[in-house]
Parts: sequence; C-alpha cells; structure tokens
Amino acid sequence: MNPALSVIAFTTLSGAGYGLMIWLGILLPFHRQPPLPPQFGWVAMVLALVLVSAGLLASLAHLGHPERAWRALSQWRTSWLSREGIAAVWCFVPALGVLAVLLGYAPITWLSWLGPLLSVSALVTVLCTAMIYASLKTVPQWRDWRVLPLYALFALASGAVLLLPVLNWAAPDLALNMPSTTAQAALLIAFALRYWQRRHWRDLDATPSLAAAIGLPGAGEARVFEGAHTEASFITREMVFRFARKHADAMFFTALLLGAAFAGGLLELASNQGGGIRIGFALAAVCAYAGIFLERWLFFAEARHVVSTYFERR
Amino acid sequence: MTALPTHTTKKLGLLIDLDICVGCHACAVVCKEWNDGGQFGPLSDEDPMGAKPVGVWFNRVHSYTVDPATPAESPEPARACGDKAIPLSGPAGRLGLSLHFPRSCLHCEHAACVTVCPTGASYKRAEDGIVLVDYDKCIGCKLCSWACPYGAREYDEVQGVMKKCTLCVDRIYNTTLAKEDQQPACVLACPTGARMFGDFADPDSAVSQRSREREGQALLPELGYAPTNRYLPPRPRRDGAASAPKNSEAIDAQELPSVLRWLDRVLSR
Ligand code: SF4
Ligand code: SF4
Ligand code: SF4
Repeated sequence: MNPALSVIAFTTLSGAGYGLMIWLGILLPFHRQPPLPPQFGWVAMVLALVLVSAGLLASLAHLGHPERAWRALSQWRTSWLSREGIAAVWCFVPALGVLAVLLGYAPITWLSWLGPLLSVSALVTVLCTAMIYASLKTVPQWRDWRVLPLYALFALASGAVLLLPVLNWAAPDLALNMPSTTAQAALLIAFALRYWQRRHWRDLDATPSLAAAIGLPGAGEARVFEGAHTEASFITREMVFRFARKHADAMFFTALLLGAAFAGGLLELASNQGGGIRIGFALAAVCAYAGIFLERWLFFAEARHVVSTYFERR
Repeated sequence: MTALPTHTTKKLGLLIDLDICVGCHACAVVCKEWNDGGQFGPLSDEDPMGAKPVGVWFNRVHSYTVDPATPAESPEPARACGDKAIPLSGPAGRLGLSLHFPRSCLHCEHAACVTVCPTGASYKRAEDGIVLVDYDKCIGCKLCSWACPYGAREYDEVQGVMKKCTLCVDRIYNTTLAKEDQQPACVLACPTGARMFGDFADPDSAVSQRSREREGQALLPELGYAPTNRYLPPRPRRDGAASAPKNSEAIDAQELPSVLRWLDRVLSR
C-alpha cells in the first residue's frame, strides 16, 4: 500500500494523544504517592488534546471532501471507519470533562468516573482505528491478530514516553524511575511484537497466483504481457507499492534503534540523573515518535494489496 | 445505507468471454467515452495532454501470457516455414497462450467496498444488485478502493470523490434509447461479442446458461466477495495442474517516486 503521509501522521499522532489519555484517565484519579504535581494534569491533558486534534486534522487532509466529514458518523452499523469517527468525537467529551475538573470548573470527585471513562473511550478509539485495517480481506498482512494489540501498545508506549517530560517539567525533583521503567517496558513489548509480526509477514504466502486471479486456477503460470495502461493509474499509485525488502529491513532496524534502543537508553540515563530538568526525557519522546513513525510507514509500505497481482511483472 | 441488501431481486452483471476477447480495448474506450458524458461523468483526467496523464477509467484491459499446465502435454511447438521449422515457444520453452483480461466492477454480492463506506455514499441496490456511489455523499476517504480486491474503483482527484463502473445504469433503463441500445456501452462496442449483459439470478437467462455451459468463473472466490460477473475461461486446449508462480523482489527503480528513488540509491550503496 502507498504509505500516505496523512494516514501515518493521523495514526501516530492521534495514537500518542489517545495513549496519553489512557494513562491520564488512570493516573489522575487513582495515583496517590508521591502526589502528582499540580501543573502536570492539565498540561498533559492539553498536550493529549492537541495531539489528537492534530491527528484528526491530518486525517481530514486525506479526504477529497473534508467539509462533508460529518457524514462519516452515519454508518456505524457496518463501517469501522465510521465507528472510529464516532469514538473519536465522543472522546472529546470525557477529555474536556477531565480538563474542566483539573482547571477547577467541576468538582474533583468527578475524576473517579470521568477518568476511567476517558481511558476506556480512548482505548476503544485506538482499537477502532486498528480494525479499519485489520478488517480488510484484501491486505493479508493486516488480517493478523497482532494488529489490534500493536496499535494499542504503540499508543500506550508513546503516551507513557510523553508523560515523562511533562512530569519532569512540573516537578523537577521527582526521580521518575517507575514511570521511566513503565515507558521502557511498553516500548520494548510493542517493538518486540512488531518484530514478530514482520517475521510472520516474511513467511506469509497469502498472495493468489495471477492465473487464479484471472479465473484460471488450473492453468500454468501467468505473466504480464502488456499492462492495461502505459501510465500510472489511481490503483497503481495507491495500491501497487513495492519497496525492496533489504531497504525495508534497514528501515525497520532504524525504527528499532530509535524507538527501542535510543529512547530506552535515554530514559535510563535521564531517570538516573537525580533531579532537575532533564533534556533526556524530551529526547526520548522524540526518538520514540520517530521510531514509531518509521514502523507505521512500513506497516503500510510492506502491506501488499491483492490487486497488485494483476499488475506485477515477475 | 451501507448495509448490504439481504436479497436482490435481480443480479445484473457481465459475462466476459476470455476465449474470444482480442484485447482491442474498445470496451475500455467506449466506457470512458459514455461515462464521461453520461449521468456519472465527467471522468476527470489530470495532465491529459502532458507527459504523465492519469485519469479515471471504469474498465481496463490487461494482457497476459499463460503457460499450459503441463509441458508434456504441450510438445515444443514449431511452425513450418519453407523447409525450416520456426519455434513458437515462449520463455518457458512451451507454447504460451496470450489472454486478454478486461477488469471492471464485478457487482459483488458481499461487496465489502459498500460495508466499509463510512458515509453511506456506496450502496448496493436491492432491486438489481448494482453497486453505485452517490457522489454527493462521498467524502473521498478512499477506503472502499482499499476494500475492493479487483481494483474496480478509481478516485477522481479533480472532483474528490470515488468512481466506479455503474453497469451503465443510465443506459440499461434508459427508455429514450432504442430497445437494442439499452445495454452497457462496453457490451455494444465489443467487436467480437466477448461481453454479455444479463441477469444471473434468472437461471434461464442467456448469461446464466452460457456461464453454466462454459463453467464461468468467479474471480478469487476464496475472498468471499461473491462477485456477480463471470469470466468464461479459454476453451480447453491442454489442461493440467497449476504451478504457482513465486514472488519476485525486483523493483524497477525508475517506477518509484523521486524520494524513494533517492532512498533506493542511498540504501543500495
Ligand atoms: S468489484 Fe470491487 S467495487 Fe465492485 S462490488 Fe466488488 S468489491 Fe465492490
Ligand atoms: S471514498 Fe466515498 S464511497 Fe468510498 S468509502 Fe469513502 S465515502 Fe464511501
Ligand atoms: S457496464 Fe458501463 S460502466 Fe461498466 S465497464 Fe461497461 S461501459 Fe463501463
């Protein structure tokens, strides 16, 4: 599939925002010791809202008629894209509710139900996004049970990494060993599962033969003799995208390096530095995002749409 | 509404005969011509007179070569020319069959292109099974094109909406046309009669009968889309077992967009 920048930006940015929301929905009402710094909550919440909104705007940029986007909320009975849209819009309700509490416009006791509601809503939204891809029978790489946990894990990991610079800024004296370990673990688990998925993709042989695709399953080998058109078409641009495996491997290695090794290492350094504003937390967040961005690019670029069968010269 | 009808009274579709299609592209051209000016037009082109023209077509004709299944049944063929024998074998050393394959919407019964649509712009008609797009509702999210295994949907960059074969719904019910012209444009244009239009729900219709006789094939049935259109395989020559082609990793650097071409160069070092 063509790795469109708007879709990659949408899934990674909104994923990070929803990941933050999931953590905040649990931390804000239930975290006790040491007490969370007063500025932390609303700043992190605003950051989450900005990321989610940026992601949704990026997805609008992908549309031919963004002004009609409201129509996408109507077909929730069959369409995961529609369900995702509804969940995304709904998410703003508990998110703004939590923000209102944090800014003093609503009683603090409301957090005990607004928080969990926010976490669940954000998680459901991320899972709906993943289902858009996992439900397509036309892309065998995405018909994989790992797609759902991966979207959730990458959202959780990017959220956990983003929490740290905010915490560090709000309370420079906190050591932050626990949250650093959590972020490291989330990143490691996510990238390990993704590594496993790519291994599975390598062995996946779900491609129909060209002979079968043209209705001659009993025939011998079929080959492209002449293309249907001399120039590109929407189908070849959007769906028939090939990226040589050695480059993909190099890119995935870079993603692992940035997202797991560098980000994890920086978190280790920063959390062991004692106190003060530690730039390592912010750098770790940048590295993690870069790694996840590359990973998401490959999620699209390495997925092979069935229609490619009609076009590929072997 | 993007829920599929549980039952369609008719199943209108095309029967395409791969045995006699000569790959002339007449159906593709007349489809573009009719639909550009018909109710579902225009079919926009970008850069039509320029170096890299791209445009919306509802029907595309591919040309393939197919090896016979088993080499033994197909001895090294040769044609006498004077006193010389000229080999006719293809790359595999066997007589290949060239085959032209027109590809358009198959008006599937389980059309996932419809169910994934978030707006209700894509729909399948309960009365005749035709799958259509309502251009006034489409937001151009392109998800339906991802859900179609057959590449039948092409996005119109100029209008920002998705387009596809309408089964010439603006011809087949069009009483201002003469009775014999109330057929899809591609069917009328085909010089060899390789395309037939009819109702596959009626077992006595000409398309159903012909499809039964010639073992009409549904494409990629394992995906579960239950396409309505059928393809008639070439009449039997030398049948046998299939040999599955292997994937090749080769990519043509010239076909990549420039950023990737650069990446390809950098990473190839
Ligand atoms: S061929 Fe493609 S566009 Fe046509 S009905 Fe089937 S899935 Fe939908
Ligand atoms: S591109 Fe249009 S018709 Fe296709 S799924 Fe999106 S809204 Fe529906
Ligand atoms: S039925 Fe009409 S719209 Fe469909 S391929 Fe034929 S000419 Fe084109």
